[in-house]
Amino acid sequence: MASVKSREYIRDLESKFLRNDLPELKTGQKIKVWTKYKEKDKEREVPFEGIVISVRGSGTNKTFTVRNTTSGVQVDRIFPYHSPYIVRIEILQDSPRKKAKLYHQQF
Amino acid sequence: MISGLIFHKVGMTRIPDENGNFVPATVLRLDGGVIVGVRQINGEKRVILSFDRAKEKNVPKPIIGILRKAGVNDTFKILKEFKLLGSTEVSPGQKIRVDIFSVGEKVDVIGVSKGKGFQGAMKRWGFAGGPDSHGSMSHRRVGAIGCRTDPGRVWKGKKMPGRMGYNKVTVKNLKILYVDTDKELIAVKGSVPGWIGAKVIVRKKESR
Repeated sequence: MASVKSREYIRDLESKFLRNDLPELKTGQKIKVWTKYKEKDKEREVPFEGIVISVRGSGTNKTFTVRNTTSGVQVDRIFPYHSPYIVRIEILQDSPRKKAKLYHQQF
Repeated sequence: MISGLIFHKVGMTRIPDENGNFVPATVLRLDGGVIVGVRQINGEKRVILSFDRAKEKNVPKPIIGILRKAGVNDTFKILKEFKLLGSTEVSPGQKIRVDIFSVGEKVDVIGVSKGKGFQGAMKRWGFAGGPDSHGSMSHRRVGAIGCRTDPGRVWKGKKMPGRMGYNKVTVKNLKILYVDTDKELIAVKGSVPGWIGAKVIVRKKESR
């Protein structure tokens, strides 16, 4: 059985990799995520805009899903929240929903 | 430098590697690592280390005797010998820290795998089993186990159902992702044999 102590050690280790500089996300928010993208030796910042439909997990395992429609096709992108690839997150519109997950909604 | 240490398996998580990608990691903790003796076998220097802190009443008296003779005041349950790599000088009573391992280094992890109990041939050996339907009555059975008059017996070592797991398992070339000297924690990439709380030997690649 995983003892309380072993969970503490894991939490302590994970805390070294957590990011505190990003805003807290809630489902329903319209956001723009800027990610680092390596191109040969150049590094670019690529934005992805959409609505948060899911925030799940805890510690380093936390991820969020952003849904967007680009040229008629719905695109879901799952980001690890604490990923070093994320440069910044902009909250464009803050309208939190009552539901924790918005998988059923079309945008 | 000491060739390896005994760690306790703490559990698994995911942490970013040097490229920033999240990878599965097993967290291991060092409990002990105090030198109780140095000796020479065939010109090779070996170091006896003590691990696994325990109450004095739970430790055999001969081990306590060895510990006290070496001037170690803490009580440990396990004594284990490791090679001494390179020309480092060590002395009894000295504490070995997890910083003998560095991030990016590859290590071997030796442990005892989880016991699975009595298992069938499909789980234990990967047999295909029989058909599920069309009147088949041979779903997870072993099937035929031998030949005919010649040899008239079953070959020795035939793969059959039986006790599975609880074997000594070595996993080679696991990358070290994280080292914390204060908390005596390390994290290696991927999984490691054994249950949570199990003791595993983490061995440097050079000591193979």
